[in-house]
Amino acid sequence: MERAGIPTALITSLSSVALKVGANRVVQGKRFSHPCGNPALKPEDEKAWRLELVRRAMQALTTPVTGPTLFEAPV
Amino acid sequence: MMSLDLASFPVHSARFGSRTEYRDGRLTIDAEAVRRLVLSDPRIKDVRLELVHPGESARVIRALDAIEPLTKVKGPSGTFPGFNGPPRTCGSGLTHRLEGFTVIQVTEFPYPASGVQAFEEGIIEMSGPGAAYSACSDRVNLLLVLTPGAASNNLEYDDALRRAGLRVADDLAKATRDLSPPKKETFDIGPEKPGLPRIVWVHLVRSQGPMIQTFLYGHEISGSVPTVLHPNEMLDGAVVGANYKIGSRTPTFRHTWHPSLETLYRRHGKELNFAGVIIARGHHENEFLKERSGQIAAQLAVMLRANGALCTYEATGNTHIDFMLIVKALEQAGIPAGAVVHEYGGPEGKDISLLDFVPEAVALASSGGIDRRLTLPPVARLIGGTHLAHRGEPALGELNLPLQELYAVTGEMNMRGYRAQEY
Amino acid sequence: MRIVHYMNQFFGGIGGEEKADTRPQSKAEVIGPGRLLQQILGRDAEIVGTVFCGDGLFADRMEETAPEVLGLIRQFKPDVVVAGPAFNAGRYGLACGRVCTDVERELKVPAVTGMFPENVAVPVYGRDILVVPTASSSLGMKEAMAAIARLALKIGRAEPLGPAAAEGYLPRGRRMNTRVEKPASERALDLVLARLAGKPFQTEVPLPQYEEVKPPAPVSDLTRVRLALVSECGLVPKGNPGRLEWVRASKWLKYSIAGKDDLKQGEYEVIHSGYDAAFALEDPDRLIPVDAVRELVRRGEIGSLLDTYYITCGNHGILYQMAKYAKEMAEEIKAQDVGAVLLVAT
Repeated sequence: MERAGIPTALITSLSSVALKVGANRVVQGKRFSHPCGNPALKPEDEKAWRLELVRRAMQALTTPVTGPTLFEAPV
Repeated sequence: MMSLDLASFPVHSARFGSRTEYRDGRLTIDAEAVRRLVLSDPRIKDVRLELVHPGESARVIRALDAIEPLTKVKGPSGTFPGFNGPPRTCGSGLTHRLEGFTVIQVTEFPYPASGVQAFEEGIIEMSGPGAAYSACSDRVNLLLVLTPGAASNNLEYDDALRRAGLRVADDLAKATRDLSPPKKETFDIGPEKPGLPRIVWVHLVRSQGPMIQTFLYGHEISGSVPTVLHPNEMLDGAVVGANYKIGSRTPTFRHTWHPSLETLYRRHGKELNFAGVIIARGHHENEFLKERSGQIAAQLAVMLRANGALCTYEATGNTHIDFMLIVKALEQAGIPAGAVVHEYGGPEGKDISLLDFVPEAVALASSGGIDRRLTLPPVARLIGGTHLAHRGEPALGELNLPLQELYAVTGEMNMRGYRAQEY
Repeated sequence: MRIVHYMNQFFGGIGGEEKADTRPQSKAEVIGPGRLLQQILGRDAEIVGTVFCGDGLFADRMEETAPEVLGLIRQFKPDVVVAGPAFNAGRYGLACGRVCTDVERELKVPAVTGMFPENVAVPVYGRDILVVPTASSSLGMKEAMAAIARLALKIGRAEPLGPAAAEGYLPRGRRMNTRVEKPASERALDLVLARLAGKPFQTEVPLPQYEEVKPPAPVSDLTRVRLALVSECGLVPKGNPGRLEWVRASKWLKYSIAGKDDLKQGEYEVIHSGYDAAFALEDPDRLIPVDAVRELVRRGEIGSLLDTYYITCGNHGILYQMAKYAKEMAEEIKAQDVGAVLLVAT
């Protein structure tokens, strides 16, 4: 995606792998069986958490980076 | 200090007969007695016994675990403790084993399973080009072809078939109780020999839920942090394999006789001191737990005053990360690691070999690429089903598949000296 | 065994740089360094002809010149073709590389050449042809020809080639399985003991170098951008209409999310055998966050969401195939005016 010039935000739980292989905008996801999910939370809270996670990804898309960069997950 | 005498009774052939008996390399099996033993658990409805020998045109699918029969003849505890007997420390006294013989459960799970729990074949190929990569192709195998009974879920059935296999293994080995063994070796790491480096074996095993897990003294290890065993505990079956996922599984007979243990014991007292075995689970759910496990494993090696570590692992997928984090932690703790890795690389070996790595992984031995493909000829005898479980292809005829789909292929390629090299 | 030797204008005795535009020509003779080659080959093979061409001409007008050279080689009916050695000469190396590639592909005849490992032709042709590593200049001619002769005889006799390190050619990026005497565990232990004794050791698996991809410039205005959702998590409509495989996927797919504010339980399934699907089946947004993106679009924080999501299964994906799928997806996505991608990996 990035080679084609499209700014890409990657949400993954295995951020170390993503950074190592050279993904430039990496957002820390939850466990790999649900990177955009947080089932420990109540449904309304989980939806709010996911909104915040996607917001972080959007933030990554608008941030200039020079190389593989990690953006933390919301708590 | 623990000292184990391991008496080996090699089995060259087996047949069914009226009484279970071992004589001059031939095992006679009382099929009725074995059936009664298996069916004593109502979770198993029926069993059919089949024997396959090396060189036969035979293929086994739906193969689960493979157990080399071991029985405790003298001494505390027993073999496969936690299953055959209470979970008491094993590894000393006298154990008899039927060397070159295996008991294998062949069955489908009665309830649907998807995602990571879905069964993937590890095909046992007794002759032809596949035999060079398939574990058990050079062994005499008793197949317990099972029909599920009153098991309420797959976990229950798995428990039943594991216990049945281990019961049968112990019972068959008992046929040698009063016999004098053709071969007996003593395993004793004894007092440390000064001046020789202390080496630990770090063994990473699979733990991803039912049908993809490993047992230690009768309990599965998902909740465990890395722990230390005496190598003799491995020999007596403290670790039992319950991982039925594709070809990179480690069956129980590979835990009870692993190429790493074999090489360390053989060179113990001459070039090194075998300092112990560190068992860890892989496939931790996230980076935090992976890193934590790597650190604890390395710290155990430090506590064992290890100078170096021989590292091996089972399985595929994200456990490569767990493994590399152990290697990294060891190196950073000042303990040089030599690690066995199986490689990927695609069908022609042109793609990247390692799914994950750390810059500290500077000393790797290759057990070969498991993505390379092989064509297996049609066979005369097919046991376990008619079609491959995970691809639905008819299994009797010609099959083209990656090495990864052969039974316990990574351990087998390790043992047989395969490696990948640049061409 | 019939050998044809390809070389440039200099080794062919025509002249130096001023003759770099020499047209392709051939002689039914042994010329220049070919004499050394023939001497080493002895009676095992015969150089039946020499073809040579100017380096400059070949490099500048490769598409026209290469077939002409090939034609001249073909006329000699060779069993093996030897090119060079080119040492560190870049244009000569490129010519040798192209000649060997053409000979193997078009004439189905084995070929071998020799070059300094840092010759610019090596990254271009080195994965497809047999290259003997040589010194950087013709001072290394004797050693180079000895190695070339040995390999020429081997490939001429159709004998199987051993690994690069053992046979003395540059690795071509193919890792094939071979059998050695010791089990891998034993060899790993040898490595540990060597390290502890301070002795030299060599890893059997060199660590990969991943290519750096320059990060694209950030999105300047999120409120006007169209976002696309892509994933390898194997989430597909229930029934798996596209027959996506759960391991080593052979395809990528796309599905409409038009009119959907979120992904509903029961309408999707997970085709991926590398993780536990239970959480995702409860709420597929936990994999592909359609609900969150739709909400951000509603609030005006994101311009719009592409009505299609792109999916494959990354479980044991063969890397170069996954790269191919990504390239194809990217092309299609770009054509739909998408300015940013949210990629989810399991």
